[in-house]
Order: sequence, then C-alpha cells, then structure tokens
Amino acid sequence: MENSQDISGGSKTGNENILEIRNLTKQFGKQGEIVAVDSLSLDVKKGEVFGFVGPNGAGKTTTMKMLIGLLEPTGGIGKVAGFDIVREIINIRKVTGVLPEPAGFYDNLTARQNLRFYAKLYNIEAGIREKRIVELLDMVGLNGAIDQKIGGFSTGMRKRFGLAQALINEPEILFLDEPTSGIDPKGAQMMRGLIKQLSRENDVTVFLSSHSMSEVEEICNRIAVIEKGKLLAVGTVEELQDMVREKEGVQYILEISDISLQDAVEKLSEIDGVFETRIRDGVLHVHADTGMRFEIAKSIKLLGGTVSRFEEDRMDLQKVFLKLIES
Amino acid sequence: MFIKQNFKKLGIALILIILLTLPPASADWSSVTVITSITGKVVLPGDTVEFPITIEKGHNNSDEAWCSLSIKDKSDGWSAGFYNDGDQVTGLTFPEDKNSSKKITLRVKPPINTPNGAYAIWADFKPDDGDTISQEFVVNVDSEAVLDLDIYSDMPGLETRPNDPVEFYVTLENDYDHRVTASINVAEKPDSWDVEFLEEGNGKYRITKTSIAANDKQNFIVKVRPSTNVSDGTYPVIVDVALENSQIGVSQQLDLTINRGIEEEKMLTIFPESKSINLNPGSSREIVVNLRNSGDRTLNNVELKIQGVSGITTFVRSFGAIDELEPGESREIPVEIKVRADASPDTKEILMRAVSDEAESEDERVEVSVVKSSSGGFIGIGMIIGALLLLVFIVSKFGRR
Amino acid sequence: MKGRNVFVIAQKEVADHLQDTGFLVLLAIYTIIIFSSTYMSGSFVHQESSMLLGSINVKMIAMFAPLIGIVLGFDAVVREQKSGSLNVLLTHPLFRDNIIAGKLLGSMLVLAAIIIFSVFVSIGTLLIFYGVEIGYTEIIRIFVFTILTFFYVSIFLGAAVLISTMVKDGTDSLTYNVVVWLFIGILFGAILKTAIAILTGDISNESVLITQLLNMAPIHHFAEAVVGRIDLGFGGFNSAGSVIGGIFDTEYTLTQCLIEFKMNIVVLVVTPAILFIIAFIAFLRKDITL
Ligand SMILES: Nc1ncnc2c1ncn2[C@@H]1O[C@H](COP(=O)(O)OP(=O)(O)O)[C@@H](O)[C@H]1O
Ligand SMILES: [Mg+2]
Repeated sequence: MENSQDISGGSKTGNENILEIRNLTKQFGKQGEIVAVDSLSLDVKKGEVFGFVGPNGAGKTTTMKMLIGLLEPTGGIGKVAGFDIVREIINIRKVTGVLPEPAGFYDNLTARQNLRFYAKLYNIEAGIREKRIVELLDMVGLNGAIDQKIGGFSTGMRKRFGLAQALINEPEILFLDEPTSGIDPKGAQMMRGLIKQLSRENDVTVFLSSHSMSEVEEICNRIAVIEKGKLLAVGTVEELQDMVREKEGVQYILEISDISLQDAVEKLSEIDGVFETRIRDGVLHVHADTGMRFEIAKSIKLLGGTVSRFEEDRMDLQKVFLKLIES
Repeated sequence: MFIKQNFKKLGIALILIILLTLPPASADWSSVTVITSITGKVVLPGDTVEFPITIEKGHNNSDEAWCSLSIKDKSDGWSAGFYNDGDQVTGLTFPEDKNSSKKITLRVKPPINTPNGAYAIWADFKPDDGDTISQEFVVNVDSEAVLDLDIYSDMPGLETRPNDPVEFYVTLENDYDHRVTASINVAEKPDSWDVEFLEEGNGKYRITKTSIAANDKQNFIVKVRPSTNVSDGTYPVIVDVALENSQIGVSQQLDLTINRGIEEEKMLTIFPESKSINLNPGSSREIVVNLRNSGDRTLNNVELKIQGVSGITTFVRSFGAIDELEPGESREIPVEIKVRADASPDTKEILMRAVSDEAESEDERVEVSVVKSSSGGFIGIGMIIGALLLLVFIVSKFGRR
Repeated sequence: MKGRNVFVIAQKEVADHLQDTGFLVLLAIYTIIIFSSTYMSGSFVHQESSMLLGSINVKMIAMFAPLIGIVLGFDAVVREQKSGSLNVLLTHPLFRDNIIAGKLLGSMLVLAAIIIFSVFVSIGTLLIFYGVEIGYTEIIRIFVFTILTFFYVSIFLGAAVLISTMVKDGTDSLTYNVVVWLFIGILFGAILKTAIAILTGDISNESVLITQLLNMAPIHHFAEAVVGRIDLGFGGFNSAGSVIGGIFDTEYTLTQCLIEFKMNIVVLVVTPAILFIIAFIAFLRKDITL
C-alpha cells in the first residue's frame, strides 16, 4: 500500500501544493471487484480553482470522499493542507469546506439557524459567528432569505446556501461536488460567478468536480480529467488543448483566392502531416499535425494563391474532453 | 280477664268442703272398703274437680280380690271418671296380701254452661265378692268461685325506652290439691312488639307450657321488647295461662310504660380515644376505642361497628367479634381512619357503636375534620415550580437555535 | 473539540424536539393522561400503602410512556439520512460516534425532562388541589419511580433509535416501532397468555414458563419493580409477582424493595444501555452514501 514516492508536507507559501495524492485507489465490493478510483495521483496548488471532470460514475465523488476522510482509501496516500487523509481527518475537516452531492440541510430551520448550527461545530465565538453568517448569506445572495426556513428554498438557493455552509469555517480549501448540477442555467451561472469571486477575493483553493467541461473551462485554472477511476489528463485549458492537438492534430481554416479551391485541396493532400482537407462554405478546412502551418501556407503560395485568412479552429474543451475520453 | 283473689270466698268454700266431708261409706258386708275423705267440692263451671278415694281390701280376706268402678249417676253433659296415676281406670285388682289399699281419684268436670247449684254424682264400687258400695259425691257449681290457679306479678308495671327489652317476673300458683299443666300465651300486645316467656332458671329457654305440683308455684320471665318507633305512653301486655283440657284459665296484665326521657342504662359502653381529629386528605390516623361491659352479665359476640362516611374509610383492626366480654371487662380496639385523597375539606362525623348478642351501646361520634395539608400544598407548589424551572432551564439552555 | 460537538448535536436534538409541534402536542396529551388518570386507579397498591402513591396510575404510564421514547427516537437517524443532512453534517469536524452519541444524549435529556415534568406536575397539582399530605418516604419513592420510568422508556428510545438506523424511511421506522411497542410492550402478556393457552391448554397464570417468557417484556420488569405485579399490559396477566407491592409498597423499606426487585431493576437499567450500544455500533457500521 505504501507509496514509494515522497510527497512534501503542506505549506502556505506561493506555489506549494495544498493537496497531494499518490496512487490513491478505492475498491468496492467483497473482492474489491469495483475499482472506483484507480491509482490516482494529483497535486493541487494553493489558490487554484481546480476542476475535476469526468462522466458520471468516473469516481469523482469517491475521490472527494477519500480526501475529506469519509472513505478510507484501499491504497495510496494523500495529504490535504498538510494533513494525512487517513489519520488526520478532523484536522482536514477543520480547514476544509465541503458541498457534497447530494446535500441536505435542516428544512425546519432557517438559513441563519442552519449556519449557526454548523458554526457551533467549529466553536466559533458567538459575535464573530453571527457576523459571518450574515456576511456569507449576503455573499451568496440569500440576504433576503436569511430568516426563512430552508424547506422553502429552491434548488438554486439550496446550492448557494450549501456554498455558504461550506465557507462557515473560513476554509483553506473548498471541495465542491457538482456545484451546478440540477439547477437552471441562470442559477448555474450565478454559482460559477460566486466561485470565481471567492477564488479572487478570499484566497481560497477550490477543488470542484463536474461532468461539464465547459463549466470547468470557464472557472478553473487547472483541470483533471478522470474516467473509470483513472486520471486521463491534468493541466490548464491550454495545456489540455495542446495535449489534444499533439495527439489529434489541428483544424485550420483558410480563405484563399486566385486559385481554385479544388487545386488547393489536391495540393495540400500531398503534404505529409496533412490528414484531411475539405471544402465547406467556400472555405478550406485542413486537419493536420501541429506545426504544419508554414508548410500549408507555402504550398498555397507555390500554387499562386493568396491566403486572405488563416486561422486555427479553436477546439472547445468539451470536444477535447470527449476526445480524451474516446482515446 | 283478671280475676282477683277473694279470700272471703275461699274461706266460705273451705267451710263448705269441711261440712260436706263425711265418714267413709261402707256396705254391710263387702270384701273392700271405700274411704272417701272429701265428698263435696266447689267448682267453677268448666273447671275440673277431683275427689281422692282410697279403696282397701277387707281385714280377713287374704284372697286375691278385685273391684270394678263405675259412675252410676251424673248430670247430662258432665264428664266423670276414675284415675289412677293419671290413667283412667274402670277396675282395681288387689293382691293376696292382707291390708292392701289403693288410692284413686274421681275426676269430675261440669260443662262450662252449668248453672250454679249443687249436683250429685253417684259412684259404684263393685267388688267381686260382696255387695256393691254406692257413694255420693256432691259438686257445688259456682260461677263466682275462685279458680285454684293463680297468676300474679310483684312488679306488673315497668318503664323503659323504645327498643330496650324489659323482663317482668310473673308467678303462677297452683292452689289445687293436684298437679296442673297449663299453656302460656300472649293474649294482647301492641303490634310489632316482641314478647317471650323465659324460664326463670337460666333466663334462656322459652316456655310454652308449665306444669305445677299441687299447692306449688312457679316463676317465669316475660321479656318484652317494645318496637323502636313506639311513642311514649303505657301499653298493656296480657299474659294468658290456660289449663290444659279445659277452656278456662287466668290472665295477668303487665303494663309497660314507654318513656324516651329516662336515662338509658347501658350494658355496653364505648369510649373513643379522641372525639375529634384533624386529618389531611390521603392521610390516616389510628385511634383506640375502648369497649366496656358495664352491665352485670357476660356479653357475647361483642363487635365494634362503624358507619362510613363518603371520603373516609375506616378499618377496625381486630379479629372479628370478641367472643365474651365479662362484666367490668374492657377491651381496646384500634380503628384506622383513612381520609381519601380526594376528600373535600370538610368536617365529617363517623358513627360507631358496639353491638353484642345481648346489648348495644350508644352511638359515639368521632368528628373528622379534613383539612388541606399546607405542607403538602407547599411541596406541591415546589414540585410544579421545580418542573417549570426544569423546563425553562432546558428550553433556554438547549431549546434555542 | 470532539466531546464538545456531542453536546452541540445533543442541543440541536433537544431544540428540534422542543420546537416540534407534534411532539409538544404529544407531551401535552401525555401529561394530561398521567394527570387525569391519577386517582382513578389506586387499586394496584396494597391496602397498607400510601394513598398518594396508590393514586399514580402506573398501568397507564407503563402502557403509554413508551410512546414518548418512540416519538423521540424513531426518526433520529433516518430523517437525517433521508434528507441528506447527514451527508453535510459528516463533512464537518466530528466523528460519526459524536452524532449518534449526541442524538441519544439529547433524546434522553428530553425524555428525562418529560418524565420529571409529567410526574412532578401531576403530583404537585394534586398536592395543591387536594391538600394531600406527602411524607419523606413518598418523595423518595416518587423519585425512584421517576428514575425507573426513565429507564423503562429509555428501552423504547433505544429500540427506536436502533430501528431508525436500520430502515430506509421514517414511516417504516414508525411502523416497526409501533409494532415493537404493541408486541413487547402492552400486548405481550395478552399474546403470551393466548399462546400458552392454545399450545398447552394451561390457563393458569402461574406457570414457570410464563414467568420466564414474561422476562422478555420490559413492561413486566417495570410492573414488578414499581407495583409488584407481573404484568400491566392490556389484557395481560393480573397476578402479583411478589409479596412486596413494588417500590410503592411503603410497608417495606426502600432497601428491602430494591433488594427484592434487584433483577428487574438491573434489567431496566441494562437493557437501554445495551440497546444504545447496539444502535451506536449499527450507526458506525452504516454505509452512508455521499
Ligand atoms: N459505496 C459504494 N459501493 C459500491 N460501489 C460504489 C460505491 N460508491 C461508489 N461506487 C461505484 O464507484 C464508481 C464511482 O462512483 P462515484 O465516485 O460516485 O462517481 P461520480 O461521482 O464521478 O459520478 C461508480 O461505478 C459507483 O457505482
Ligand atoms: Mg458524483
């Protein structure tokens, strides 16, 4: 079980990792036949908004559970804010905020009473506590519903309340499991705005899971793609795109004049590294390896054509995501 | 009917009897001799008269002999016969011994409607050997005559309270020269009174008949218990004594005066230890009740009875009744008085009475004042305040969110 | 921190109960039942005993007080789990055992308050309105009775909490609890009576078998310890289990009573503890899907 790789202890400085896992594994079932998380290794840096993305059943929730000590890993090790995920669970929970999925609150209590209860679990001094409750509910846009019972909240309000609940202890790291699932696009947009704001203003590291690549693309600095418990890729949006481009090639869009498009197609097809060239709506779509831009331009010039537009078709991340999963 | 004794008349009767007494009748020759000491008697119509007769065997006769007895002449409707030891006889047999004699009685009963006057009865004594001896007996019927049965009471008037029995001592005197049997009955008494005749000796056995030897007398007790609801006044109780085998008899009037005012003399008395007690609802107290036989007779099955009142229960702590309580003896019986928890504050009276087979005591009253316990009330207030404080504490300490 | 959070949970549990309308209605009904049935009975207590104690309707309490335990415990875990609030709660710095311990503690506190409240208010009111005298002996007996009632009802609280950790929703939990209450609570004696009568044809109430089987019913131990009867359930056995009429028999000293009913008292105290431990373990082993 012990991992031979050394991981550094938690530190608050600059680019240090606030979360590190090595070969984290979780198996379910009598003989461990269900491998929910498979040798997962990750580092999350302090201050990041880290996206954990994968289709349903990929193992996101299971991973999060292990990180906050609700599940014991079958194998591997992990540290959150410098605390061991097996032995120092309470310490981890003191410095983390979690919005689980599904999340329920006490419907018979008001938003304020709910938060007060959670605050008591951290033994926060009453004066500070009451102030913070108001601030948090204000921040998540529930200031009008502060003394309303949670039972009457909409799904969107609940999610936002859940966010406030996760922030009650001023956590260093926030775990958000599918924070926008089940709510309408407007609500989801509001949630994303809140997360961005949090990251900007409150100096908190966010570890969020989602099955939507577009969502993580919008708010995350770095993304990990997970499928069937395995990590497929980690990096910034650009890094992931590069990674795909590296593997899959790039789509170029060319507008040319002075020569026939058909000639251009024939010419380009002869070039090594160009996989496919098609004409669509009077423009050329060229699928080629990265770094073929110059070769393509040269070939058009040689034919006597003039390139009036030469763009790389930016792949949206959802496509990248699907590509990653397909491969 | 109350017949007064009349010594004058009795004297005249006795003189007449002596005048009528004749020497023994004797035949010229007979094997038996009939000796009659009395041949004339005065009698009431309907009463019975007896003539004693002695029959002797002749001096010189050592043979066995017999004599038949018969009534030769009597008035119509009269009954007459010879009796030997109570059995009617028509003949006598003499053993061979010399000088044996037999005593028999001639019993004569004139009918009840016989007019006054002297009546003769001829009796024939016919021996087996010799002449028949005829003898005349004279019965003087006189409706003014005195019956030879006398009844009197030395104290024929008594006073009592309702329901308290009294005992009259009545004497019955037999002036006949023979034993009489008489039945005793109540001729008159107020309704629902109890009258019974008790044998004097033990005061216990009830008498219906009495038998008195000649010239003897007998006492008996007439126990009268007046009813409870009888009003004050004097009431007669008439005792009738009738001779057996005849319609006639004597009676004695006994006067019982009912007076509620007279001080009741009690055989059985009770003294409760305290006559008024204070109790809190739900609590109890034991008081001792003293039972005393202040009479001069042993009392049987003495028991303390208590009348309950709503809200109060009483328990007599003893094993049933006291079998016997000797005169002068007293017994202490603990009685627990328990006030029901929901009894209203009030003063209630418990009635208690001792009863025995012979007598009852007067009712004694014990006042029970049910007073709310102030200490209980304070504790109650304390408990409620405590409960409320507990609730307030829990609500304030834990109830807030 | 760890221990403190037990109290935070307990406090919330108490507050939840105290602010639950249904619960308050039940409390009111219960107190009214206890109050109004006091003075209606009295028959179970020996003649010699205190009238005040005799006026407490132990039968009513024996049959209906368990409902308090059930109401306090039946949805303790299942409601929290079903609503998903347990998921959230578990992400905060407390262990699972804190949660269950806090819930049990809170419910026991409310239970104690209710029992003390109902007994004190009933007896206090009677003392004021009837002016009944109360002695030191009676106060002590009432105190012991209150404690025994607390343990007796705790058995049902423990069972209710245990059931609530095992079932899928609150309605199921309530159903099972009511079944438990009916069968091992009020009807146990009657069922046992019927069963024995059918199986053996023996309708006497004294057989050893019955005495042994009755030991399974909490009401038996409560009945015996308090009034010295073998059963106080509905249509159950009606015979006395001891010469001593339970702790309410003031003819005997409290020590004599406690010695006589040692076994019953031990069962009353130990059973809730065992049930609490089982509920505790069941909750710890429970798979809570986040
Ligand atoms: N308690 C469990 N027992 C058995 N299998 C489980 C359990 N929890 C999760 N799994 C399985 O592990 C896999 C990952 O689940 P999960 O982490 O919930 O996925 P995600 O959150 O990414 O949708 C799924 O196949 C799921 O069926
Ligand atoms: Mg999930």
